[in-house]
Amino acid sequence: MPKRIRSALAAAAALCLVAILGAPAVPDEKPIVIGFSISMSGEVSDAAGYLRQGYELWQKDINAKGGLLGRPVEFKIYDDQSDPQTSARLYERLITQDKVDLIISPYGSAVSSAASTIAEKYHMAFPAIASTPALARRGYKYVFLIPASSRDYYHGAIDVAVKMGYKTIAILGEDSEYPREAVPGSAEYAQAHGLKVVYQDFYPPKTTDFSSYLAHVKAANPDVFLNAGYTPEDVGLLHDLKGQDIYVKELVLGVGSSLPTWPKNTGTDGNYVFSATQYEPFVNTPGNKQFLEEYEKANGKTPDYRASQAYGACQILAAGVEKAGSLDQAKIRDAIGKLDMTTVFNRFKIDAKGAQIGARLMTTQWINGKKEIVYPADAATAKYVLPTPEWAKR
Amino acid sequence: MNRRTLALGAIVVAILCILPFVATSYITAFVLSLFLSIGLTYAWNLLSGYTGYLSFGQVTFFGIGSYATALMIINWQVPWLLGALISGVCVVPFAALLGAIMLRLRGPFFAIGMLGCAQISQRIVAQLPMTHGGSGLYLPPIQSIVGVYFVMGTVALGMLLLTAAIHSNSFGLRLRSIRDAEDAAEMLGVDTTRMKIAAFAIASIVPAVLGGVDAWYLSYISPPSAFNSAIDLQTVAMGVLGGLGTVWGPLIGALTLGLLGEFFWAQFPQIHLGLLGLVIALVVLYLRRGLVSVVPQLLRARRKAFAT
Amino acid sequence: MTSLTAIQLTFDGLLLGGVYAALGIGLNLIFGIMRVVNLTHGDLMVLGSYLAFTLFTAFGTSPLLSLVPGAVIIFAIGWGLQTAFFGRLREDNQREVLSLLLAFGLSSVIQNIILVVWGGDFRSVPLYTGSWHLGSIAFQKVHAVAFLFALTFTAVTWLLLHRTDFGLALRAASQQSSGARVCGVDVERVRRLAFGVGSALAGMVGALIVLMYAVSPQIGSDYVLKAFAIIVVGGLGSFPGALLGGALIGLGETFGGYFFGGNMSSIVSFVLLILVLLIKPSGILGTQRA
Repeated sequence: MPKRIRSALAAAAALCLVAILGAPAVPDEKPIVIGFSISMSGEVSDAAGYLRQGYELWQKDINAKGGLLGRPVEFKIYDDQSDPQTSARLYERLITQDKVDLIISPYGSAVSSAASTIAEKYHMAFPAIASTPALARRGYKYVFLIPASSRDYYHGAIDVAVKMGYKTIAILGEDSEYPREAVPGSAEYAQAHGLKVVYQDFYPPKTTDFSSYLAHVKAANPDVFLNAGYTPEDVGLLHDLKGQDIYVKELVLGVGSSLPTWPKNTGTDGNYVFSATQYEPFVNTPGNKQFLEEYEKANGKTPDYRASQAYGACQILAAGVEKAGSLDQAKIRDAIGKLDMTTVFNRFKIDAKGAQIGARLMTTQWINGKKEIVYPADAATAKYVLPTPEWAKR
Repeated sequence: MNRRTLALGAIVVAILCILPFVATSYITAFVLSLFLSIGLTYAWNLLSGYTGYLSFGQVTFFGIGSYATALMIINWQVPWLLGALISGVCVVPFAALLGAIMLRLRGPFFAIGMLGCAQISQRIVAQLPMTHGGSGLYLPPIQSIVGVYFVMGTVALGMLLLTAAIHSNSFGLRLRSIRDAEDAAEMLGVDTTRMKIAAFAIASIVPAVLGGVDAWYLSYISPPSAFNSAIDLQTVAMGVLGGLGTVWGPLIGALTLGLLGEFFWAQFPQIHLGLLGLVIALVVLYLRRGLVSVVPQLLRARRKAFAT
Repeated sequence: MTSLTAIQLTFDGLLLGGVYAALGIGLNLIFGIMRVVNLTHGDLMVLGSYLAFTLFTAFGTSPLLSLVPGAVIIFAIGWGLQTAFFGRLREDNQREVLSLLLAFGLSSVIQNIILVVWGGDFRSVPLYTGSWHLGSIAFQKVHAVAFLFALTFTAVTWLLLHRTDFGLALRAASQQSSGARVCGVDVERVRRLAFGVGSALAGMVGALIVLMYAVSPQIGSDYVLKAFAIIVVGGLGSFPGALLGGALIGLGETFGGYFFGGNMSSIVSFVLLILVLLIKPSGILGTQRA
């Protein structure tokens, strides 16, 4: 054969040899595919971004340790655009068309609820990143919750208000899953502890003009104002509160105010705002230090609690799989039902219906651009600053 | 329809009846979604295609049907099919009233009015305490989709046959006279108001029933999902692409966009809606009469090719 | 409700109404002249919002300045829409229906383009925060500024329509296109200009909106409905009608929102729209037949 072809073949053979000899000892088993949808756009996409990074960090870690059941873990990801219906269709596709081995949750109670219906339909264990207890009340066998119930989110902030002797509270919430639990849950708790609810209402999703709601709030002149919503609503409400010159002694906001991007979104106006959390970078959960290091190295920023929630959810799922010793979904779910462990995120223990009873809620406040845990006292890193200074002085 | 078409149709229907028992659940679900689109498009076509009163708010009735059925299932354990049918019946007086008001508006105002209706009804439904607003309603999980498959298939087939029957009889002729020259028709003694309301009512009942069945199928509905404006966009695109005011248009349009959409949606979910809009725009500019008008042209071309 | 609240709401409603009126005027121009139901009007407004947002994020320019280049860009787009799409429709009895469908389809295309380019997140430009006081009435600085700008646009447009040759040609072309042609008016060119100017107005209002609220790609549909409510209520083709319509819709939203919750505020506009269409289809100050 011609000289050129001979030398080409020789070079190719040499390369192959090098590749085979030099390749790392990867288990050549068939990978385990974990499917999920994530909001890459839309209302909850900023929070969902953290979730995804948490998942990916877990994937890296577990593959470095030899994989799950000795097999490498791969992801199959779709964009659900923060829309529950889209997410449901995508999970249907993941399960019936892509035939994934395991599924994990999208972000947000509304989106996860829709996806959980599909999971239940196809009998797949589903660690839901959703805080609505309604998910557990449906009698689904395969769905269980990772976060604590949103009904209890703001109990800490209310406790602080009661301690300070405040008398009245106004509560607003977006008309969607998590606020639909958080608002009545907070109202009940407030009433039970002597804080009078002077105004309570829901606004439709994607509201950008809060002036009519705030007109009522201004008239009611409460000591405390609480909003259960996401970033667009928290930012919009803060902006309108200032614009309408409404002053409250304690300002408690929703998911948006709990994200690390809050100071960037709101500047000094966002100071002294309270939020609910289930994890902060400085808590003492097992493996947290290493999680923080790796996360910052991979993403160049501090993780938000959703990242650790994602990581924790995977830890739980993996624990279930290892305990069950197989990918049998029923066995996995049973194994998970018996777990009582603390992940990077928080403690995990579920009741018979799949509701989360182990995770612990905490309350934070932004003080000088830094988020501090201010309640309960045994977890606190700083004392809360109340009453909130006037707008001009923040 | 001639005998050959009927024979062909019978074969297709037979195949579709066997499908859910032999094909994968993904394919069955896909065909089911085609049935839904076909049914909705025929209903829309009956009103917008035949009378010329373009409605961009058909999803109003779809959403109302979804919620009515869901509430009946959850609160009174009504069987799903019965619930959907009852929703369809209940929608009639509401549709008649709405139609009587809205149909007094001409052309663009009717379209805008219906668009507004869809938005308003979503908000009103979200406000009602029994619907749990934004958190949506959860229905008992569905065990088998075969029932839904056959119901939707029946509705699709039924609407096709209904349209075929209406098209050439006097009812259909009168409807089309409204589209072509309403005032003249009125003067010639056509009771245009009653005809319009009748078409409007049919175009409302079918979406309501389909909405009810769909709610059962999804096991979870919320105001933005039940009143999703993308449903209207898709229906309009399918109707326009196929051919307004024709018997086969909705079927061809629904199948074409359904198949293309399945491909696009999976590959490029980001631009799915824009593509639907583009289809509408291009068809309006370059293929006014829809795909259904292309077929006779193709047949003529083929005959010519064979003749020479 | 106290009288203080009532005055506050009235103030807020009128400020909002001014901005809405500017949006309505743009739509009026296009509908009045060409009987084209421009469902893309709201989306072009949103495009104006995003352009202003981008210039702000990149260069720190205030939307009040960047609305000028924004208006030019959107003028070109509006001109293009008429030339490439609406102008291509034949002038037969199908034209209204077809232009409606065309606008419906194009609206979806524009919304999608915005979504792809800028993403689906809410955007706003947080300038001019805070409020001014007039006695015990507080009004947001941003709303007042937007109102003044909207009023300026309205005045300039009025001058354009009633004091220039272009305006004369435009009005002639809308009333009697064949007659106008005979008089030497290039009707098609006038239509393109009208579409361009109307769209540019929408874009400028968009730059104001992004200061006041957060925007996302889908809100164009809500705004085009509002704009229609405005011009129908005020009177099709009537300039002062658009101002009146804007004021009524603005007041309807603030008062409706207060009494029935923000969810229902848009219902007020819709109900007004339907009522007017049924009782006096040409609108309160309108002269044209609906």
